[in-house]
Amino acid sequence: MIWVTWRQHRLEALIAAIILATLILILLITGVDMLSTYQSTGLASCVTPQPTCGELEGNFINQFSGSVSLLSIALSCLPLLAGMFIGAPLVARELEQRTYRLVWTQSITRVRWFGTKLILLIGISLLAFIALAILTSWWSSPWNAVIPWSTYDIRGIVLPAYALFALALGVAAGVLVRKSVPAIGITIVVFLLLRLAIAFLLRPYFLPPLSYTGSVDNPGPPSPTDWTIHVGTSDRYGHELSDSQIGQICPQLKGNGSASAFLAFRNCEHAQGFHSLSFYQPIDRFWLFQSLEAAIFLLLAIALLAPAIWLVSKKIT
Amino acid sequence: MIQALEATDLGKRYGKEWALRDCTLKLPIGRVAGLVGPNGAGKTTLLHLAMGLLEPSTGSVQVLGISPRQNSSSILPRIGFVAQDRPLYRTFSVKDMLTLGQKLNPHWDMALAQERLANLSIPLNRTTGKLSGGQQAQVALVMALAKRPEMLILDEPIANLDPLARYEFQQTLMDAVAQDGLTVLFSSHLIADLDRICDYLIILSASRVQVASDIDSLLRTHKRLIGPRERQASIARTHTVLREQSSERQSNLLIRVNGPVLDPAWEVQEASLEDIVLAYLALQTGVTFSVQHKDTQEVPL
Repeated sequence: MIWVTWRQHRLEALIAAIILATLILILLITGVDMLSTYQSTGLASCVTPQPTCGELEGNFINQFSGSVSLLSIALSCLPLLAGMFIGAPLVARELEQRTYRLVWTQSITRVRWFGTKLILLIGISLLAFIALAILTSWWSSPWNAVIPWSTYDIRGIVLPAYALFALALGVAAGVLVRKSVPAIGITIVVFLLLRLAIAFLLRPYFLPPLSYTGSVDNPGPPSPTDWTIHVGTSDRYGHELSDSQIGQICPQLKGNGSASAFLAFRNCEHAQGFHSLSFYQPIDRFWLFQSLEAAIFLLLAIALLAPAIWLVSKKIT
Repeated sequence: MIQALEATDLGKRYGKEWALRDCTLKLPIGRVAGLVGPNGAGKTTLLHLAMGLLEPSTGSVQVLGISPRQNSSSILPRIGFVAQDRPLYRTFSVKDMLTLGQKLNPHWDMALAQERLANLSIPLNRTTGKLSGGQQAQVALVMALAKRPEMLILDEPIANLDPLARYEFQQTLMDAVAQDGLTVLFSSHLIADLDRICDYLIILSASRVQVASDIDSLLRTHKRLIGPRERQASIARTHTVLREQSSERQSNLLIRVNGPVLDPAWEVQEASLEDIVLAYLALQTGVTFSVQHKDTQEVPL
């Protein structure tokens, strides 16, 4: 079965290897560049704050934000590609091309057939994603010293978890609809919906955000390494105000964006005793959040694979 | 006594449609059986049920005494199967297909597979998608044979093949049967093939088994009668009239005899297998025919 799996998927393996090699090359080149800039500009010694640090950070972010966002997008799409091209056709193509009648009537049971394929394909994919995640963790380390939460999606343990989920989703969709192309479509839609919903709706509230009250001139959160969920304004009693409430009390900015209007607005804020109220997730929750999110996707993957295995072994034909 | 195939009230339903219904039959070991019936009669369904590719809706099926669905790991190595349209992995070379067979079957006979393909001059390095239909059928059959099975189940193996390819396929099949004494069950809608290869016949029509019998006894017990039309009724009292073609005065009947035809007014002729098969296929009613063999037992109800 190992040979059969290899023979059937060697083209995918080749394409995956090319994509992986290209990514690794880009990561190495930009990673070395980023690290040397980080060290040569003196940003590395900003562990103890110095007056020039803000400017150094700004320059560093400007210089590398392009490649970081491009690579982030590419690495975020990679699990989906695995689900689409390895997961979805796994069973669907056999049903579609009727080769299940050939392979399920050799001497091995279909449970063994399916089990071996799942273990090999998911196992090897996971190994590749773990390797990639280790590399991106190294690659992003200078960047993470400045704004660590921004690379959350492409490093650590969530990246392999996304891949596992995408593969399970593809397999389950293929078992359910029995055709590769619709299964690929379902994989794309469901993966993006869940992945984005969890990233934008759930992740900021895995734990209740901490709040920080700062001055309106210098809003929080306390450290740039924290993840800002929301920044608002509070009155002198600490109650958060809506934009329209602020506009009623301090109307100076209405229809006028000039510097003098802004100054007048700020003076009003000070006079009213307004503060900046920010909600944030501190950096020490980073790995807790990664673990929680990885666990969610792991459970989703199991919830998809278990019925798929049952369907293949008992029901599908 | 273990049968090669034994079905008891076997049925398969998809929603409200029955693909196969009330199928009760026995195929003794060592026979070469043809399974005939019009398209949609349930031939593929019956064969898939026998291979464990489908789960019965009603009744049960046993192959070599084993329930294929519950016990697939012990029955699969013992049956060689060629599915309808002879599916192969189209991007695999013939050699890859043989390697697949070797990896997935414990009793795989690589020498046999290579020898047979060499005899057929099928190039091992060609991808199966580029082979002719006849060659694909041969590769599929060789794969089934190289499993070293006790029984072969073939689903329309020679449909859509040209006459030469059909002949060569039958030749490979008959060689193997002669050498190994395999039990064979194959479906076909070409009646002409049956005469040459089979010694047993199963006729499936309107989702039911019409005939499951030895071909010899089938020929012995079915006759053509030509005689005066007015005496047809008396024939029908004793024998079963399967088909009648009558002119004004003369009747041409195909009957299943129930004792000797004594009336000298009737001329008795041998019926050909084709006559018999066509007569049963034309029947939509449940007139069934089966011969009890000495070596078979009644199904306990």
